[in-house]
Order: sequence, then C-alpha cells, then structure tokens
Amino acid sequence: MTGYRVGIDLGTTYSLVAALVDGEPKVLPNALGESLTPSVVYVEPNGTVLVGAAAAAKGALDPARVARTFKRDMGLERDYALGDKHFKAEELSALVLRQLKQDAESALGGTIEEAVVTVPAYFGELQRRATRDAAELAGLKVERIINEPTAAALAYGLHERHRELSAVVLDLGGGTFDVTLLEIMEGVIEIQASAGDTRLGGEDFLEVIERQCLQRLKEQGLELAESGTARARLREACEQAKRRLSTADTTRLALPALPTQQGERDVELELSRAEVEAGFAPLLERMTAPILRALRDANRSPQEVGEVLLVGGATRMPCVARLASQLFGRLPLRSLQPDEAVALGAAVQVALKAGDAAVGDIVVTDVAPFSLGLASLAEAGGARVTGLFAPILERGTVLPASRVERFFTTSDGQKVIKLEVYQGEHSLCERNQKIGEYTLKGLPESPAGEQGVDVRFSYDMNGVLDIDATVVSTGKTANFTIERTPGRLSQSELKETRKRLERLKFHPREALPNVTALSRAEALYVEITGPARASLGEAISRFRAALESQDPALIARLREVLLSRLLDLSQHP
Amino acid sequence: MLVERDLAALGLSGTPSENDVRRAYLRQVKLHPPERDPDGFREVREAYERLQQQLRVQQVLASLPIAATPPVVPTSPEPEMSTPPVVAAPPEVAAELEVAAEPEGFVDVPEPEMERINSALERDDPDAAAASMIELYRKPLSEAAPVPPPIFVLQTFLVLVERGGFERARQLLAAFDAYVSATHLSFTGEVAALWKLAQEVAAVSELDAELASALAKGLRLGKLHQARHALENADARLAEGLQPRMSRKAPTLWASVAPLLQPVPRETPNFRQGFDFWGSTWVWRLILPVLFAFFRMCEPSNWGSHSSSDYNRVVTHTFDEHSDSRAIDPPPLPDGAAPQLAGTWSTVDNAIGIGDCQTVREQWPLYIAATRVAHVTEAESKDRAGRVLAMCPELKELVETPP
Repeated sequence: MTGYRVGIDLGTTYSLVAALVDGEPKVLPNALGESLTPSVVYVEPNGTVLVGAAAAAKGALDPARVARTFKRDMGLERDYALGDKHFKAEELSALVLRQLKQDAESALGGTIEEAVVTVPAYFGELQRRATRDAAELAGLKVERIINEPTAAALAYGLHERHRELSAVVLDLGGGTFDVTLLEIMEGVIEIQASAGDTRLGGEDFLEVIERQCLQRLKEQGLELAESGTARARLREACEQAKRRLSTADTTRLALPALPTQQGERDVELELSRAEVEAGFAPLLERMTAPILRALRDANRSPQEVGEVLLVGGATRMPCVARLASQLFGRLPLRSLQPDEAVALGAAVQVALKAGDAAVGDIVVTDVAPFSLGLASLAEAGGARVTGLFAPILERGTVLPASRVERFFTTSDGQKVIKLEVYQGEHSLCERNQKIGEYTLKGLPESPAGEQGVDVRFSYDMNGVLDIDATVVSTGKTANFTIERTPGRLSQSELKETRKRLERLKFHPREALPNVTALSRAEALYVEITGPARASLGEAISRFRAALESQDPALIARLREVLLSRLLDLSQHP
Repeated sequence: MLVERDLAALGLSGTPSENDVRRAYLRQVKLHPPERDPDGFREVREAYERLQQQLRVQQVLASLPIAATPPVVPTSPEPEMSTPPVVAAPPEVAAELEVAAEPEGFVDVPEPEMERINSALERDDPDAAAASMIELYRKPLSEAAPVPPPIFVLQTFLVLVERGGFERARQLLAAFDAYVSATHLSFTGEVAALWKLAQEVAAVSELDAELASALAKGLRLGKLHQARHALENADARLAEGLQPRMSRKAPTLWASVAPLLQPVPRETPNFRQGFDFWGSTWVWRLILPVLFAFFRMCEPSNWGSHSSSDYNRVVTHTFDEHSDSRAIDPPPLPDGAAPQLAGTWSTVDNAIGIGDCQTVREQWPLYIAATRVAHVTEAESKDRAGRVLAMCPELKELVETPP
C-alpha cells in the first residue's frame, strides 16, 4: 500500500501534525496523547536526544542542554551548542520533524510518504529552503511548502467554501506574525495580499512579562542570579502567568528558592492584566504595520473585510483580539482552535494535492509575499550608483507567475554580467536579502549599454524561483538555480548531516511518556515546598523504582499516579 | 472597448460589470487550478488582469483632468477590431465558453505600408515602424491614405523614448500632432490620456534624456515607480531641481511621480474615527499605476508574442467619405491650430534661413502637415524642400517625399 500523507505545522514554540481522517482534517496526537509538541530539543549528558514536552521539562532545569525558538534562525549560520553537540536550526527542526513523523506513523498505523510543511508567509527564500532541508533530513518527502495563513484559510475555507466572504487572517504564533487578506467566492480561495513580521510573536510578549518581573525584583532589592536555571525558571513561570492572564484579571507568580545574587529567596509576584498589557503597547503597534500594508496591497479598507480570523496560540491574549476588533470594527472569529488551524489546513492542502474527493473542489490562488529582483546600477552625470534594487517580480503577484525585465551592460567591452538576486522591498540592495548570484558569461564585446540581457523570473506555487537569462543579441539562454547560498546545504552536506543525525541516540518513542512524566515532576519539585513537595517526592521515587523493575503494568499505573498528582499540584499551587 | 479575446477566455461577451468579470474569472480558475494546470491558469489570470485594469481605467480616466477634452467628433469610423480566432479551449470546457460572434462583413485589406509597420513591430524594431508611420502621415490627405490607430503610434513613441531613440520619437509625435490638428480629430479616454502623457514625456526628453526614458518605460509597463531612481538622479543633476521644471513642462506626469521622490510618510490612520478611503493619498498612488498599467496591454513589443491578441494587426481605416470634399475645400482650422501651424511655417523658414538642421528635422513632419492643409502650391513646397536639401543633405530621407 502507499504511504500516508500528512500536513505539518512546524511552529516556533509548538509543532503539530495533522492528516485527513474520514474526510475531515484531524490533528494527530503525539506519544503523550497531546496535540501540541513543543518545538524543543534537549540532549542528555549521555548524548541521548529528547524532543517535545520531555525536552521542555528537562530544559527548565538544565538550560545549557536545551534549544528552543530555533525556527527564528532557520537559514542562518547560528550554531546551537547542546552540551558537547552542535546543531544548526535546520538540524534541530529536523529532529522535531522526525518526532512528528514517528507520532503520525504510530497514530495512522503506516509509513508517512509525503508531507506538506507550513512556513510563515513572510519567510524568505532562504528560510523556505532551510525548511525543505530540515524535512529532507528528517526523512520526509516534502510535497509542498505552504504559507501558514494560507493553510489557516484552507482550514476555515473547507467549511465556508459555499459561502462568499472576504476575510483577514491574523496569525500570531510563537515567533512570527502574519497577515493575510483573502476572499472566498465561487469555491475559490483567493489570497489577495500577505504581509508580516518574522520576528514578532508570543515570545516577545513573554519577554515583556519577564522584564516586568525583573523590574519588580529589582524594586525588592533582588537581582536574578547569572545562572541559566534561574532565568529558565522565571521564563517558565512567566509563560504560565501569561496564559492565566488570558482568562484572569490578576495572577500570582510563585518562585520558591529562586537563586538571586542576594542568595536563594522565595519570590512571590502579583501580576495584573492591565499592567502587563501596558507593556505590550509597542508590540501591538508593531502588529498594525503589516496589517496596514496588507490592506494597502489588496486595495481594501478595513470596513470591506468581512471576517477576522485569529490563528496562533498567542491570539488567545485578549489584547490581540481587542486590537483586531478595533482595527476592523468587528469581533474576531475563532471557530477553530487557534493553534490547530494551520496544521489542519496543511492536512487539507496535502489532500488537495493528492486529489482527495473529500476536499476535491477547493482551489486556492496565492500571491508572492515579497518582491524579487536584481541589483542594478544607475549613472548620474559621471558618478555611478551601485546596489540599486530593480524588482522583477513584485510582491502581490498571483502565483504561478513569470516576469521579464531587460538589463544592459554598463561598461565598454563588458563580457560578463553578474546577476545578484535579492528579495525585499527596499530600493537599496543592502537593505534587502541576497538570495543568490550567477555570473552570465559570453556576452559579445560592445560599447556600454548595447548588450541587453532579458532576465526572466519564474516563481511557482511552491515558492521555487527559476531564473532564465537571455542575451538579446545572440539569443543564448542560461537557466540557473541559485547555489552556494549561505545557510543552504549541498546534497553531499545533506547526506552527511543526515548520517550524523541518524547516529544520535533517541529515547524510544514508547518510553517518552515515562521520561516526560518524570521530567515534568522533577521540574515541578523544584518549584514547590512543604507537604506538597514531600508527597510529590514520594510519587517520583516510587515511579523511579517502577521504571527499574521494567514491569510495564506497574510503570503505567504509577505514571498515572504521578500525573494525577502533577495535575492536582499545578491546578492548586 | 473590452478585448474580445480576453472576454472569451473568461467565457464572457458584451460589456460585463466588474463583478461579472470577477465571477467568470473564478469559475475559470476552478477549471484551471494553478495546482494542476499552471499554464491554463496563467492564461486565465492574464486575461482577467487585463480586463480588470481596463474596467478600472474606464472609471478613473473620466475623473482625470486630461480627459476633459471635447467629445469626439468622429471624422472616421472607430478603428474596427478584428476578432481573432479564439484560443482553442481545452475540450472539456469548450461547451462552457460563449464565444463572441465574429463581426460580419469585415474585410481587412492592409496597405503595403501597414504591412511594413506590422512586420517592424513584430520583429521589435520600433524605429522602422515609426519611420513607416511618419511616411503615412506625410501623405497628402487627398490620397486618403490609411493611418495607424493612434494608440499604436503613441505606444511606439514610448518604446522609442525608452530605448533612447529621441529623435525619431519626436518626429513621430510631431507628425502625429500635425496630423491630428490638420484633420481636427479629437480623442477621449485612453487615447487622449496617453497622447497628453506622450507630449509631456517629449517635453521631459528635452530636459533630461535619462529621465524621459525611465518615465516612458514606467508608463509603458505600468510601473511608474520604477522611474524613481531616474527621478532621484535627475533631481540631483539639475541645478534648479526637478520640481519647478517638471511641474511646468509636464504637470500631469509630475503630479503622478512627485510622491515617489518624497519619503513615504508613516501613516497612522485612526480607524476608530473612520478611515477616509478615497481621501487618502495612497489610494491615488494605487490607482495611477493601475491606469498606467493599462497601457501596457497594447505594448507593441508584445504583439508578436500574443499572436491571437486583438491588437496583433494594425487595421487600416481611411477617410474616404471626407477626403474628396477636403481636397476641394479645406475645413476651417480648429481654434488654436491656426497659430500653431503658422508658427510651424515661420519656425521652419527661420530654421532654413539660419541653417538649423536640427529644428528642421524636428519640425518637418508638422510643417508638411501644415502645408497640406493650407494648400501651398507644389512648386512652393518643392522649392522649400530643395533649400533644406541644399543646406542639410542628411535630411534627404526626411524631405524626399514632397507633400
């Protein structure tokens, strides 16, 4: 039989995998029975790799061996040191994808053949290619890279396809913010504009709360100890407080025995939503810029937008929903779980691609989220200005698209033209991102400006850029794919990296619930005091003993005991 | 004036509304999903974009000051458009396409000159096309010679300016101007707008060649903002600055490109107090490019590749019903034209007197047209041509055809 196809939302903080089950997109549970898998990788001192909730829990106590929010560094050279092991963002993402693949295989009961992976609409070429590399490293054949808001729109559109509406999707994830304007009409989902900020997400809101807490500690004459553990514990506590503040007006944040420069102190802070939101104001202002840009690109006023869809866990914050309703003058729609919509849409997309009858008649058209062009030169009097961005394929162009521009030689007898490909919106190349270059040789010698080269950019639905350069006078054509781009792995490097990742030791999937339960319990053990701590400690040691006994029934029973104690303690701190 | 081919591609006919066009497009998208039929989708999309631009241009042109010329006094039937063979539709959708009916009784007999223009345009040689066009304009009105449709002439002018062929471009525009004032044709809509803009581009070309090229290209491609670098350069180059000169010589163009020179202000509209959509400047910045993008559709260099386009062939149209009477009794010159023509005569005569070949070259087509209308005797014009030749032998080509 053929393998299964899945849609994967590879998120900054959480990742999900979904598939079409009985004609409906469903999020597939991980080994812990949860739908969200934290995008966190932890390497144990013995070199064993942990991914997900267990890694997050262990990382809270051992921040030097954990990596998170690495999605923001996709395609960059940044090196993550986890103990003695070094990873790049692609490799860490590959480890997360590998985990998701295993979870999906176990949930569906078969091998995964192909996947659609989502990326923020505002991800550039490099980041898309890095995502592709990551999937390849994880042993996934990437059917398609699609934009997260497009996926979210598909998830909504599947149910709304018989309606006609225009909508804006605001996708505030852990690390990125995306705005997409779309219209559903005649069974076609037409993406009309997308804009975004690749460095704005829930994590930034978290940092605001952290800063406020540090400020409060300072007022009490305390300075956080330099250790990463203290930092990680504060961060975790702030994350919990942020979530509670989405529903409560005030919350209490307790950090017993917090290492400070003044010694270990029991810290208790009272946070109110109003206070926290005051600190969010600059972030909310940053959110409006891409929204306005998308409206401008689609030539729309906010009043013309029929529905406001909120996607991404961070949109649970009331201040985000308030911003949306103020801008668009209507209450946002949240008929799907905001953190599941993207993965569900990816599952719809993979079914569409495979021609599944259940989703058969939806068609999506998408636009280029950024402009692509070449570096050019302008002459003023005798002076030359170099590094001017000459866009060829402009943002907002409906894909697939192909555009051509003619460029000319700039000096007498010029025989080669260097084509530097940039992506971005600024008129100066240095302010845009370089995604590749190619040297076109063999131009006939002529005076400056006589030899023309037609450069054609073809951009397909997968966001793959194909470039043709034709020398006008000779008709000679060169087609090129961009190579040697920073951050891009070559085929041999990919192979090598894959081997290296395969050599890593992983916790067996069936042991994950145990590791996770134990790690969570140990993380909480640090946080609490008194009788609660004693009873948790007892449950932990009994569970450890059960693990030693290797009796599956006993382990399962004691794990349940431990988990129920954990649940009880986290609900009644 | 919707292009039949594009309408047919969307399964439409007649004069559909914007909403009709949109729905028809979406229905076609379902038949040609970009996922499975990227080429089919691209064709549908391109047809849709052209129609959409055209519809918007129709709305916007009416509100622009340049369209405020008097209504057309048709001296000739509107250039008829041939309906090209409809692009073969995929068999499964053939039944859904309502093909616009072929106009009956249409006979298309291109003149040899028109053939020359067509072939020059097809092999992307605007200079040769312009030369042929000028030649046609130079023929006496009494010969009832066919002339190319104005939109072609103006497009060719833009292409010439874009590629640095200023001299030929000015000749072409001068010949066109002269012809228009001689026959007192008048235009509305896109032709009027484009004519006005072409004249302004010509004015700019005297100011700054590089800027004129960039503006012409921007107009032709509908990407006026791409002229920004040229604007910045010109602004730096001209001692007096760009604004006073441009706003005097090319007010309409200046109004459209001036915002490109200024840093875009940070907009912080307060949505709670309402959002003035039409009043905000960026809306106009959006619409003007759309307007210019429209002209791109008829881009001469594309004719060859869009072989089934409505514009793929210059259709001849003559002035038979008027030419006889005009030869006997010239119509009175339109207001404003007389001083212009008189001005041309004296300009040319002065230029001949002082040996200014450049001015003769520029003014000659206009002079010929003026001569034609005013019934200058053949001997007299031969005499003038002879004097020009004696003075500037390099103008032989220009003056060898006597008016």
